[in-house]
Amino acid sequence: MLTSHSRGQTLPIWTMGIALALVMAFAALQYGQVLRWQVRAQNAADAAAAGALSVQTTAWNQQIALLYAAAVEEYRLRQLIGAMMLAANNDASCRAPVAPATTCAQTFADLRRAYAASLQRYTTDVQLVSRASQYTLGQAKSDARAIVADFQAKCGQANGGDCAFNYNVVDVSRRAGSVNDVEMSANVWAVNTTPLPGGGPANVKDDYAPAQIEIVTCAKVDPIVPSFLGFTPPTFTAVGRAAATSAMVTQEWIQPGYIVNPQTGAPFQPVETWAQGGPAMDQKYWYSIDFGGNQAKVIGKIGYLMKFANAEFSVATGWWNTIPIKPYTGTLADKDYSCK
Amino acid sequence: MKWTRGAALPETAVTLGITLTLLFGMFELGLIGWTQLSSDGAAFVAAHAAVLGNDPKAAAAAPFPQVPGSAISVAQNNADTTIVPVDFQASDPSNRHGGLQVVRPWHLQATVDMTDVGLGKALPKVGIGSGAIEGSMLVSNPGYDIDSTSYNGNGTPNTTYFGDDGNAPPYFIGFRLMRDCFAVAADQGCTSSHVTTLGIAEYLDADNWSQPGNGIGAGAVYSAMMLHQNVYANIQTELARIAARGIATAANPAPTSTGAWFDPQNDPCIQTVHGWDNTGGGAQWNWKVSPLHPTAPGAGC
Repeated sequence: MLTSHSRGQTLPIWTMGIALALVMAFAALQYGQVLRWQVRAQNAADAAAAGALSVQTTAWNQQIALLYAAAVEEYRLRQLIGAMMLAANNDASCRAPVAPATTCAQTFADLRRAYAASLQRYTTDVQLVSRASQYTLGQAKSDARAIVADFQAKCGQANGGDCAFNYNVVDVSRRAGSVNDVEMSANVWAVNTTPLPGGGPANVKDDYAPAQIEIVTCAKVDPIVPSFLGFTPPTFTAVGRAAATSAMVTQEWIQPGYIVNPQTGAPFQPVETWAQGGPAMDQKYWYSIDFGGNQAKVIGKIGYLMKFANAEFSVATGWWNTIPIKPYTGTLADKDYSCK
Repeated sequence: MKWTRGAALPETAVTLGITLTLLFGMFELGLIGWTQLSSDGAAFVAAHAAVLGNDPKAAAAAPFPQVPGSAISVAQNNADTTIVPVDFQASDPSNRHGGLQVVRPWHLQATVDMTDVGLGKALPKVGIGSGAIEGSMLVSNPGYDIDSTSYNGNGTPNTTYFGDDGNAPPYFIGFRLMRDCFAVAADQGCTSSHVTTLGIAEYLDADNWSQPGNGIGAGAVYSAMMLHQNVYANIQTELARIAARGIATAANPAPTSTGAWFDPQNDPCIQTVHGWDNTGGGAQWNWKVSPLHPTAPGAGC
């Protein structure tokens, strides 16, 4: 039976209920906030680690591309030299009756012009390779740190980082552990070397060793719950930790004179004709450059069998990018990184 | 007023009932939401840990103890398929012959599947599910290139990058064959030719990775390129002399002095160039000999 003093009890019940509901709601929001920031911190660290070594990978890719261009040019020079040996000695292939429309002197002159142009290009290629191959591990380290600093400085912009975090480079170094000797390990591109001889780790100086980087992103995050009645909810620290290394993600074997360019339907490096003339005594057309290509056949795990019937210009290359790896610097202390 | 005093009981009962129902409902809803958040976080952490080779369940257990390990599963799904056929049986020039051992991001998916979440009082128990996908950088098939197994297949073995040939320094290895001339005579041109494997200067592998210098100078990684460029430039000066005197014929025989007329028998520049090569030939080319002898001295050229 209710008495007069029980009349006001709905108010405290409501008050307590609403307070409890608010606490639960704030707790849920706060929990979501923590998770969201942790994911954000990790994503920021992942992206920074992946991007930080891009200068090393780009430098190597440029170097390989320039080597390819120079190799094409040197192959061209060699072919032109061979052709000029015939023309300079009045070979039957560059005069009547095999080639009634020309003389070996004219053929020689045409080839000489082609050689001069080719040599000029080759000289440029050599100079470019020289410039592109000066990149050192020390530069890779400083570039990686500069890129991370740039992420920080340009945060919130295109190619910038997440403004909420401090980006800390914990370490940049030569990748730990040995790397494989491609020439011997791949040998004839057999995977690993057993039973082929000569495999093992590569002897490679620092400047051609893949780099690795570890990054920590950190931010002190204010709570979503405001201060009230003298109670100030604590901040929490969102930390992301990631590492990456330069890695050869694609290996290519390019036969540009044989493989068809799907865009054009013709080989990537079609036959070039630099002077008039017919076949010589060996049935070769010396005044055209065929970059060739031969059918290769795979033989089990041993490698390639290639019976060459034709000329061939081909190269094996490795192309580089970064891939994520497990953080490798062990336990970190607060002093190892700073928070925003 | 007197008649209002007795209404407190039913009012309180109704109010309390609604309030408690709402409170329990909110509590259960909060619990479900909290579990969903935990589940999402656990999926993210598990996927992330798995691609790095860590134990996904252990990694998720630390920040999300409320998510049982039995609810977490990790599956590795196919990488995206390639459009251009890849094989190394180089019989169809339309195929992509390169691209062996490509490190591709396989789809590593962590799934959290929790059942009977909630108290089942104000709201029914529900199931909670979360998923996260990370790229798992794997060499699709370490033997693919020489086994000629399907590149796009999922059943083929795969391995980590560091367990295969991809774990290597940058390299560039060339394979070049051409028929070259090894003897000449006036009005007869080339009197002897055969196929040779060319020792071209552009390579980067175990032969020069550890040269002390960078660039093209003496003792540098690409010193062979400088040497070759010098020889080719010297050959260009010979071409000028030949052009000035005219090509060799019976009526205008070439000088027999050293350095004339591109004669492999007595032209040191041509001999230098040939010295870079491997003239062994044979029906089966030995790929191991590349890059041959690119730094042979060019004395007299």
